[in-house]
Amino acid sequence: MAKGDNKVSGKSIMGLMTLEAGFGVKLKVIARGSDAEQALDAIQALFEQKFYEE
Amino acid sequence: MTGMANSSEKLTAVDPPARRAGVPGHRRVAEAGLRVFLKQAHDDSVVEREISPAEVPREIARFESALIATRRQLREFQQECDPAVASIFDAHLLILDDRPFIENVITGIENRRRNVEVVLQDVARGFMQALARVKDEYVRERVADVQDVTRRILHNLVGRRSSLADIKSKDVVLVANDLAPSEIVSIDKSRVIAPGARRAAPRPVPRSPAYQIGHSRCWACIPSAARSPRRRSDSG
Repeated sequence: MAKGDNKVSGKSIMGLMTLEAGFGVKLKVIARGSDAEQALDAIQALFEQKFYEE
Repeated sequence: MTGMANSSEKLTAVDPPARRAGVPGHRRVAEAGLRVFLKQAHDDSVVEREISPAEVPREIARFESALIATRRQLREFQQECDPAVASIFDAHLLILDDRPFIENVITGIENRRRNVEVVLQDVARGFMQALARVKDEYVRERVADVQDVTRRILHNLVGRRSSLADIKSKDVVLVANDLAPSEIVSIDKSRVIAPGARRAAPRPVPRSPAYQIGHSRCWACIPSAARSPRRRSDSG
């Protein structure tokens, strides 16, 4: 996950917290590996569904 | 508050049995064994040791065993505590499963050839410093959670248990400034008949015994005694 030049692993809760990604912040999601496309689709759906919290 | 040490009560090394003077915060009187809880040097100190290449797998295995034990304890705490508090341990489990945190410890053992306790403290310190720099107050407060999880892993590595764990069988006057969630769930709160603090505060602060135990105020402020000599310690 990246916010500007600050990149952290999506597997790190502590790294993600240091991103300070509050409401309205633009994030870039980078995925690597054989199922990268699938992972990005799932993350996109998660954001579009507002994390299923509404 | 009467803080006379009960002869059968085990006291911490820096607080020899003695009469303690402090600032009263309550008009009532409580009498029980005095427990002064300090998290410093001797609680989290570790010995730095150089290891040979042959010892690396054993150190990594020790770390993995401590992670498993910590995970088991956190899940037990979740089941035992109030549902409102249980979510704190969700955050602790996420910290425990943080891949870069785990990988940094493992690569640190391999590259630096030091025992796991030392590498763990250094890695945790790096994460805590990064969180402490964040502007968001909620995120900054998570430093205490990383500290609590790190301490629990360390205690599992060295076979140390919280000195509060035996507050289940007798009443105590508990004096502390800062109790972590995993420390709170390890004690029987009904046994703490009077919470005290080591620093004066107008009202209980969130991690003080008075607040955690549901008292509107601490019963007395008993300032710190002379500090013991400092050893290598990061999370106290």
